[in-house]
Amino acid sequence: MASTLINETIIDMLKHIVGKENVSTSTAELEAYSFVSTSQDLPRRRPDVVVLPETTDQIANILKYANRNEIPVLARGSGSGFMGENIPLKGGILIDITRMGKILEIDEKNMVAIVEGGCTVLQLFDELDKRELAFPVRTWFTPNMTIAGLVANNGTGDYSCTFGRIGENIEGLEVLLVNGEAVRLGSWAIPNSYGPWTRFAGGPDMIGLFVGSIGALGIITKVAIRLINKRKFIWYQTFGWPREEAPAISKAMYELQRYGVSNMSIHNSWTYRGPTNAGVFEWPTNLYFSLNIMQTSEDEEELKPREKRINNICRENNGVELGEKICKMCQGPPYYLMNLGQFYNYKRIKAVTKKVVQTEIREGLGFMMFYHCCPTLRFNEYWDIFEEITRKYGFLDERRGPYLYGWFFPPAVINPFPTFAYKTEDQAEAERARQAYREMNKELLVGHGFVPYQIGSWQPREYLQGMGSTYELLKKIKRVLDPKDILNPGQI
Amino acid sequence: MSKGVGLLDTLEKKIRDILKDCHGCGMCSQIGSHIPFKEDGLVPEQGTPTPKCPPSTRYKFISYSARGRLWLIAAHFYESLPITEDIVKVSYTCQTCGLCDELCFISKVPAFRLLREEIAEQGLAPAVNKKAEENVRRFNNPFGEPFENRTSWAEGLDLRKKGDVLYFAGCWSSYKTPDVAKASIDILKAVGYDATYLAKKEMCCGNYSLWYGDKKTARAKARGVLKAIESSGAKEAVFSCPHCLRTFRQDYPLMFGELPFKTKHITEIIAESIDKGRLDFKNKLNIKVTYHDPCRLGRHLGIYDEPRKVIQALPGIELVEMKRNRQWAWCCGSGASGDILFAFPGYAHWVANERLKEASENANVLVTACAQCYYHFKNTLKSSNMAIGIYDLPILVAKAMDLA
Repeated sequence: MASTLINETIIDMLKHIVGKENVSTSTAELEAYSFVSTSQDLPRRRPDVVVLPETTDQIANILKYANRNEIPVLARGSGSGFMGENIPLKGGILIDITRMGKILEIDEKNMVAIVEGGCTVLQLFDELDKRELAFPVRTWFTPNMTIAGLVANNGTGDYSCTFGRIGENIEGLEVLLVNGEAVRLGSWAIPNSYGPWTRFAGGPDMIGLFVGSIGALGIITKVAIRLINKRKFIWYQTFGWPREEAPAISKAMYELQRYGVSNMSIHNSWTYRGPTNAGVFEWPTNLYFSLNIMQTSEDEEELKPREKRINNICRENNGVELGEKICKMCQGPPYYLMNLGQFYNYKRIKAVTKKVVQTEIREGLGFMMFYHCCPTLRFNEYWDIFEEITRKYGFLDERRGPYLYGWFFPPAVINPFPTFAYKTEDQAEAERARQAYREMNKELLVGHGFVPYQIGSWQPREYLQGMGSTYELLKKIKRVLDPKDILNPGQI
Repeated sequence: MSKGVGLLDTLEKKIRDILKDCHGCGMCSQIGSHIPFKEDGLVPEQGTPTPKCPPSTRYKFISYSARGRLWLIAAHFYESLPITEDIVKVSYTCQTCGLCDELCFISKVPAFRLLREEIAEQGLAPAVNKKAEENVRRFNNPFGEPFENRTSWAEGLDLRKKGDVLYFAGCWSSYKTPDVAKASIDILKAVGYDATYLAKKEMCCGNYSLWYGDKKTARAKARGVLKAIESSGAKEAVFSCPHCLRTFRQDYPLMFGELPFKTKHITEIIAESIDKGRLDFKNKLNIKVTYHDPCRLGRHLGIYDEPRKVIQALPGIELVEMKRNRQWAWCCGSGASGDILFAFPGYAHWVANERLKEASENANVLVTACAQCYYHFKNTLKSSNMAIGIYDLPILVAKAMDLA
């Protein structure tokens, strides 16, 4: 697409700032950066130019220039957002921050890791592992995810059930405002303090303003993340429930969160259909939901009473223990759930994939994914509505799902993350899937008061507008911080 | 109907699945040493060496990663994105080394080859690659060397033209590294094989054409090669070139079904001979070596242990591993049958240089088991100031056996 925004002068300036080898207007690059990590067939758009800066100063200079010349700017990490928030709706400059991936300091005294925004989750794992440390949001879905991207979308991970989302685990941020000015937030702002050791340094929570702001208020260049001791002992358990027991599993999940379980995820029988068809997994036909529970501790002995209590909560709420074999099959890197169920075994995954691909389940299917949050105790209501709409649009069947992969955060919140499949090559069905996507979001978010996991252009406009005075305040803040609407324009 | 959509109708289902299965997680261009799965536990595999993917390390932009390339392939086939010069560069800077396939369960390399087929069909391949393909068609080698020179290395060796065990030299050893072919023959003779050689009947196996994207030529070459082997009466074919071996083992069966003869790499023959006590090592080498796993021999064919077994059997050798070894080995950079070296020599040498740096930190000799890697490393070394010896394994074995 020929751009009306970008001309040779602008390209030359960008080359001057970051070096010519780090600027691209090639078809390959613009097209590749129009994609995001999702199989949803929803609108994409190319940027007009992609740049790969390596320093905060370079980004600051790009921002100053873009702001002066009113060129839209979108900062992007690994491109793993799901709500269309990383799509350059108005084109312009796309800043790929992945070259800014340094781990600046592991401050064990203050229990924070200070990293550049482009540092990936995997990089940080590596460094922390060496020191028997971890960080509380162990995301698996996209292990190549950047930390700044995680903050800008307020992501979650394995331990979010205990420690909350990434936003609750940040002690300091460095953010570039649209005029190129760098601000450090929390105790990091104080020159004679001890670095980013606490986010609350008096006054309102300025860090919170940028958490989940999808790069529309500023560009996150450095992050100080809270650390925890690495968990040494892990116990896994899996329970199942029939479909009609949705209220019972909702109650069980609530009680487990209240008790303080380390982590859990909820799934349904559709999730396991591929592997079952492939003959490597036998899901009990009388059960529909599965709850995969993980408890960690520093001490093996400490686990035993907790195991007992967790088992009791599930049994008291009509849960059926699924045994070690199924438990082992169900647990594992959640990333694989969408494809195969949670098979952790690498070789097995490869073998199973081959078999599953040969079955009809993966034939030309795309997925519509939904990112919502609901009170854990109301999960059964959420699921009833979700099923009703998928049924209405013809997506409630053996092949199409819906698949369920829910995870949790405090105090009693679930992100059910349901998905249904559709045949992408069938134009009528693909259009029906898009209609279902729009209605589902509108009905659940606007109609029933559930909230989005994150914001983005694929969410219904009505939702933000429905926030009333809060949305008005957000718009005022945006106007103050970014009066020319340069940063990720069109999203808020 | 657009060209892209038209082609989609004829695509193998497998390719569609590849495109659909990729969720774009980015593991294939990951920075970091964790792999989020492991054979026997719930804990992710840790400590895998990095960096991994040469083009995404060198060029950094997302299109040079496996997922970026898959996205472009999807855009081309599903949305009729025209193939441009920069898409051609993205395609021809991928070594098709297969490391990205180690990082996730989706086998992506067939899709990359498909893109090249599309590029070649549209006549958009890099000019030097086109020329090399024309050379394959005209001269039976990608270098454009006269066909009559193909057998020069075998002059005076008095090789039989019919027999049970055939040595297939391939283009690289025939023209660029005759010392590898000679050493292989010397070893075969020493361990009791009366090696047969096709001589003037040996032609290019079609590997270059397959990865260039010209299936028709590849198939024609394959048919010719198989006919020649059939007439030789060979029951077993031995290769020193992993590219040829890969073509025989993985591509020919897809074209023609199961082959009527066995295929082996020379390192497999040597390893077996060690077990049978057929090798007599006379020279103590007194060197510290590191082994470079060629992509085709390792990741594509799964031959990791035999070369190491052979190296460790040589007298006076200390074998040390580079951090990036076995399935995590960094490619030499030359690509399939040298296609990257032909099209982007500067980049191919950068990749090799990175590997040589890693090797020289560990050892004073780099040993590989691929004539092409051997050639490319030696050439790259000429323009560097690193002090490291380069050997192809048969040459080193021949030296230890005092055959050289």
